[in-house]
Amino acid sequence: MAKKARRRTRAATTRATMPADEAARAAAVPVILVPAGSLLEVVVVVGPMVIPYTVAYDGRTVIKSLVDRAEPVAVKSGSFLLAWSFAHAVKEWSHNIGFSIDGGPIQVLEKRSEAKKDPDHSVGFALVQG
Amino acid sequence: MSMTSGVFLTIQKRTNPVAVFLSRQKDTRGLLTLVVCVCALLLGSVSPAAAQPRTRAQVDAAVDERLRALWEKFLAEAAREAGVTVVNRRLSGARDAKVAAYTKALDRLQNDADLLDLFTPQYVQALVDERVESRVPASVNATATNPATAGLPERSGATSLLALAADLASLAAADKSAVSFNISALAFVSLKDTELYSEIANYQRHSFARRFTGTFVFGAKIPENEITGYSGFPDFDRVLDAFAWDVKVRVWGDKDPRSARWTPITVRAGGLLTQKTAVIMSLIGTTPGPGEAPEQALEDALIVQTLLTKRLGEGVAAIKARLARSPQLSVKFAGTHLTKEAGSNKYSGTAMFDIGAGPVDITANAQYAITDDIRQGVEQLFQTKIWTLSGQVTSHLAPGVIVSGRTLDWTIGGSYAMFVDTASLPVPIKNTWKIFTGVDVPIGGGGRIPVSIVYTTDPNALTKENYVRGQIGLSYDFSALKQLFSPGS
Repeated sequence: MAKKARRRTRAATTRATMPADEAARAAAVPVILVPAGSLLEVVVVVGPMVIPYTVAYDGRTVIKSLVDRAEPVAVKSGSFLLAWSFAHAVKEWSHNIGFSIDGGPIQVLEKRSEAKKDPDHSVGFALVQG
Repeated sequence: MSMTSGVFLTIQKRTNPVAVFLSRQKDTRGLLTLVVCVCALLLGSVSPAAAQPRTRAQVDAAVDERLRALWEKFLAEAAREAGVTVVNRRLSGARDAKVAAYTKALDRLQNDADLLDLFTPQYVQALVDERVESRVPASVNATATNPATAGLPERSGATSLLALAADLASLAAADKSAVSFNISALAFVSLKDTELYSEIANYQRHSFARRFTGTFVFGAKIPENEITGYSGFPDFDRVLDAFAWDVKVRVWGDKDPRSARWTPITVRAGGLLTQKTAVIMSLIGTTPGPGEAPEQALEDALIVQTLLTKRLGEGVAAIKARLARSPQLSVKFAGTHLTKEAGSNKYSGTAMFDIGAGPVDITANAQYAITDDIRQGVEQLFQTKIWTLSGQVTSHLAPGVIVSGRTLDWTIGGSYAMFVDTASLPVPIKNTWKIFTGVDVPIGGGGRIPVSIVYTTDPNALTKENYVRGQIGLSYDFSALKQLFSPGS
């Protein structure tokens, strides 16, 4: 009961200070919980690209490439952002970014394509809690 | 209009690293550049690898380090000016002041062009040459060479590899039975590759083969006037079975973004844009302040995400605009041969030119065609020679207004068909011309509604229009409207 009340208070505070659309976006931010000693791997699959995409974690470039890549992330203790940036200038573009912990199933963070009429650029982030 | 364009250019120059890169290219010419280069070489020889990072990882780390230092400096300055404070890598204060501070910090960061100098040619080439383990299939559709539309402007672009024209409706004027194969010379060379490279590397490795494409059209049924270029004869609309071919060669320019000539803009400047975006985004703090909910702690990240997305969009638009502005010239040689009647052949050579100017695409064609005419019998064969000049201007208007990410396209153009030495021909022939305009209205589900109107001195050329009155024809196609009511549109 007390836990439920505290959650309500938190939501009310958020609504009071953040624009409604921003509050919704905040609630939709993916949170990646990485247990101590576990391996976080970022996986990117792309279609044709001419502008390299970048994935960064806490100010460090993890991947910068024009092709498919999967790279481990040196997760720090605490909450830091894993961010990505894609820009497309060729036809039939697509990109998928996901993550896997300890080689487990890949969870999709973002999936965009020209076929779905998505914007040709995107900036996203997830909260990594190590 | 000009004022709007001026403001737009100013914004582009202020915030766009691609524009900064292009302007720096001009500024660094001349003797000063030579002196600096010589000094740099001398300094490089006395202080080896120490200053210049070598591997991609080292270059990325150096860029990250500089970005972090600049960001911390610019954010602190901007925060001070906006009356907010930096706490745990995010701002503390009113939302509007935060937005102002982040905007100012990002503006200052965008203007730091020295970052680009960290990307050496070796670094850029290593990015291009990176191996790939899987590959997305190339296009399986292409616009077909249609013998029936030889007088209309055609774009100078080329087929990617090998494509079957799936849209049979646009293939031949008289019926829909023809099949067209578009093929690139690349199809004959890239099949040898057992290793797979990135799309951009493959393109650059076979840039010469990319210049050549061809088309074969089988089973086309074409009205006679489309072959002779003149509809003044009584049986101008007689349908003839034909086989057609063409070979297109790109002789000047390359508008393809994969071309090596664009690498400094796409891979180098564009790569800095995405790296800067992702690194700055990942530097934003998310630690809740006293009494703050975790969602509130994401406010700064969301503000920066919005600002960075806008800047990234401007950068991509600037890259695409630069590519669109570049000129391209192709030459096409084509033949049309009747398969069930002897003697009637048509050969043509066409120069096709494309160039962009702001939101406008300009296409111009000049064609010279020679046709063997057998209307007076094979033994009395005569030749018609005709120059056809055509051009069109397409404006991409109201971006995102009707459908997100798409434009309303307005086209205006005309063509003039001029026969050579008409006095020597055994039949009376007149030169003809036409002007046309049309709009393509985008609708949901990816469809378009085309509406066009044409005026011509040759009324017989209007037989394909939906509505004809005198020398004016109106054409429209509302069939795409059904997409609005189909599931998933």
